[in-house]
Amino acid sequence: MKSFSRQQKQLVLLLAPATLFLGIFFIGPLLIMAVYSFLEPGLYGGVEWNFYHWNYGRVLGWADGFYEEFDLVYLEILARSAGLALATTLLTLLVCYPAAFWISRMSTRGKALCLFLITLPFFSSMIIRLYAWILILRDSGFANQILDALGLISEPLGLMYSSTAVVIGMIYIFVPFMFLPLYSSVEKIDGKLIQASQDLGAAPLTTFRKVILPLTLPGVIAGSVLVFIPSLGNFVVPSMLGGAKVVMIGNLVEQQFLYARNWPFGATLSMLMIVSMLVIVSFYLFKVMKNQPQS
Amino acid sequence: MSERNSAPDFLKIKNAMRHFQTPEGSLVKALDGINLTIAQSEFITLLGPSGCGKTTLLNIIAGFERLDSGKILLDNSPLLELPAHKRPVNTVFQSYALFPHLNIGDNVGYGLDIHGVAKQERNKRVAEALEMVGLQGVEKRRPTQLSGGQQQRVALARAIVNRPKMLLLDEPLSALDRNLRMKMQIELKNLQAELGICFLFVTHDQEEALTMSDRIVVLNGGKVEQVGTPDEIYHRPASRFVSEFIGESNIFSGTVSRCENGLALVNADGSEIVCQSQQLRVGQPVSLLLRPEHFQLVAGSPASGTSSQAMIQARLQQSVFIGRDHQLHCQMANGQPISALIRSAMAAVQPGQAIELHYDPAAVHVIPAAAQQSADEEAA
Amino acid sequence: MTTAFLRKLFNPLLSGYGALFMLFLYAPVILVVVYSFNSNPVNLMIWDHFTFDWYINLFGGDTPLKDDISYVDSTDQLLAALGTSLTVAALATITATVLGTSTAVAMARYRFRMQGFYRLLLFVPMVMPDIVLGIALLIFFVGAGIHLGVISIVIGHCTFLTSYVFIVVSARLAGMNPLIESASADLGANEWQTFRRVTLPLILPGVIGGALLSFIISMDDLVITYFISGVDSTTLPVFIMGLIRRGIKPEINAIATLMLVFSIVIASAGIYFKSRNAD
Repeated sequence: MKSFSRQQKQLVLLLAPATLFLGIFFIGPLLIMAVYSFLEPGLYGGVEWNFYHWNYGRVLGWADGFYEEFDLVYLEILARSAGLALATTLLTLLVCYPAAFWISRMSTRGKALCLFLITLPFFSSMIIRLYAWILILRDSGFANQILDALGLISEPLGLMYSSTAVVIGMIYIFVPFMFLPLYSSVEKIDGKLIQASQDLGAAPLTTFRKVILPLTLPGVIAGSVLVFIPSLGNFVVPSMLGGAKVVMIGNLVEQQFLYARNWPFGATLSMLMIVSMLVIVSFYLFKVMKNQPQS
Repeated sequence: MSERNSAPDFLKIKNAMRHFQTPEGSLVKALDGINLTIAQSEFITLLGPSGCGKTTLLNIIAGFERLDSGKILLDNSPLLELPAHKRPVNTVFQSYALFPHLNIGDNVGYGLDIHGVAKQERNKRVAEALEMVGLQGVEKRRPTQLSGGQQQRVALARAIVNRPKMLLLDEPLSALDRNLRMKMQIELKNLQAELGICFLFVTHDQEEALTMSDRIVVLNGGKVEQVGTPDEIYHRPASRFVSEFIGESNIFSGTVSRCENGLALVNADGSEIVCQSQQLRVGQPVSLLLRPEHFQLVAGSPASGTSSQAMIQARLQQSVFIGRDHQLHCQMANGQPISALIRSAMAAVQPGQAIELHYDPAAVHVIPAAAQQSADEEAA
Repeated sequence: MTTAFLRKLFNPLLSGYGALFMLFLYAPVILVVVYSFNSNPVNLMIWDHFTFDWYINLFGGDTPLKDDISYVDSTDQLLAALGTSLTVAALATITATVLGTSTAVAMARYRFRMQGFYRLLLFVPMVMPDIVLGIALLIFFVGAGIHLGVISIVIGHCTFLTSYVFIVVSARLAGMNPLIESASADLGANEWQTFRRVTLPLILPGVIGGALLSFIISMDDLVITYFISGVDSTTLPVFIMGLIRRGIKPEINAIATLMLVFSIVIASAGIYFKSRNAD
């Protein structure tokens, strides 16, 4: 009995630092933000401590039209963000899937080198990697110069400040997030299974559909969630590559906080973002738990 | 051996209980009222099938698990109040659990370093311990550079270097190949004699238990089935479980039909077995044990048998050559299989042939009914 | 027939695709590096001739490029931002390593009722959109009257860095034979001695790996820092974003190249420590 309480004491000592820290500086701020989303914005920034549901009404459609107006533009921005995030996710998947197979067939040394090369960008500055794309995409940039030199275009294509630029930027940033989970499930596939499928008379495409795809599904799902969530809330990529033309939900939140100084409304938009994130993560957990009960 | 057992009740375990909940929610009685007394310099083995509670008991003595209720006294002082690191016992783990980041010398010297033993003394004792287990000059090597058998020896040296009052060994030989295991069994026995401390050895291998132990504790379902010398355990098992778990056995269950001259005749499903017993009464249900090596083979026609002779009529099904002996797999008239061990020179019989298996009624062991009853209750 | 033909075609196609994939990953950054040596001060994508001058400018040297009308000296601000970034990353790494390691040890070595909750608590910060955490922290710091500066950034970084350290150290702990700690206790070591002499040396590669990862992520964090840094505490990524927003300048290429070199060095160190796990 004595050693039991002794163990409890050690456990408390080990857990206390992170519990206190995350309790105060993680859970606390999120709760306060949740409270803020139900407060009245002050006239010159700040908040009035009154219960106020119009923040949500403005976005979701029950504004009074007098103090607060319902504007479809917020839902449009939300939908656009979701659309761009989805496009990013699917394209990243498309880009990474063959690459995962390519590397899984290499020698051990080749694999190690390629994995290092693919994770390396993850360790290098995101802002620099986006900056590289500005150099490529802007009107006097690399892409237009090359196309011009080849005589394919006479005046610059408006590549910058477009949805295309934003999606390219996000794909570039999030490739490692998709690649690593995908690769780990591709790597796990036993080559004998593919041989067995072929031996049993399945054509390559059938083998892919019936054997390879189901086996890599956990990696596909994990990678998709890891790309979709940060894409949805992204504000750096659209503000660097999308400019004023491509506004995503993250830019809206930024505006509310740093320029419009309507913090409760910004908090509301964040809350809506969290809710959509929770829906996606629980869907993911549900799906993954169901697919592989052993892990 | 027993004259050296200066303190016959060196370790006392009283009514030890340990239950736990499986993840599925059912209750497992790992220890269900264990009472045990162990002498100071005894080589004692906890033997039983997996899940019988032997490792749990070892872990409780070592201090890695706690007891729900009960008492354990080591050298007359309560053991359970002490945390693992203050207990005067050391353990040799099944997987050796050598520290991978330390070399052999530092592994063996770990306990001495913890206790602040001076460097010179420490190095001397480390070298001595390694020498005792037959390893010299390996101090600078890493555990991964040694073979399984060598790692085993290091684990042993690491434990005995601290001069524990008792050494706990958790299936330490199970990872070794057969030849090495047999060699280590003898070495362990010698080491125990040399050190004169109590070895508490856990195994599921009955052969290992019979070879090394002064006494064997047979555990089943968290209960002690029998405590005794290897000879007692083998020849006079206290329960049907023990007779079946140790060695090969032929068990005949039936009722006593006749008693005279200290002999009892037991009718076991149509065939009659004679045994020597004063206690049995007519009509009493009973189980009898006959080991395969207690039979002698007489080939012949069923008619030639004199019915008063202690023998069983059977038909040979298969005869397997296993070296000095042949193992005969036979079947009695009532269908019960019988196994007999016959000197190869005598075993000139063909499958399908009718044979007589003769035995000495004194060799028949009557399995005590009380133990059997409680075993039946367990099953119910 | 067709199957064999397809298979023959498949491998070169796959390798060709792989080359394109790597090109996609590396061409943009290589472009930045190459053009950081371009002396053209007006249009930085038109190659003039090779020069180290942008680097010399950055380190406070004088070059002819400084005479150009478009040149803005940002060396002091850059160094200040770098200093802030390094300070923040160092403090955040130390804190997060302690928090994450102790939690990982608690989760791996004890069984308790709240384990599911803690696993969630450490998982959520990693998938939480940066911007949400950034503004939640902003509201919190302003509300609590905490000055926005190095301390607030360190706190902000630790909320998610703890999770990364936790994951890396947990993986290391999971690969460790728990009997080794029992063996240490059996040989007379108390819990602290066991931790110091056995557990810590064995998980050290994981702890160092987690710390390096934290350091890199902290150095690179833009979004959360963007919201909770004060005027006097701009970090390097925030500063560079400001530079880029004000217009593309050749010296950004030089800064970018230096930062890439820096991350390659740290990442290689991480790989080195990871490969040492093998023994």
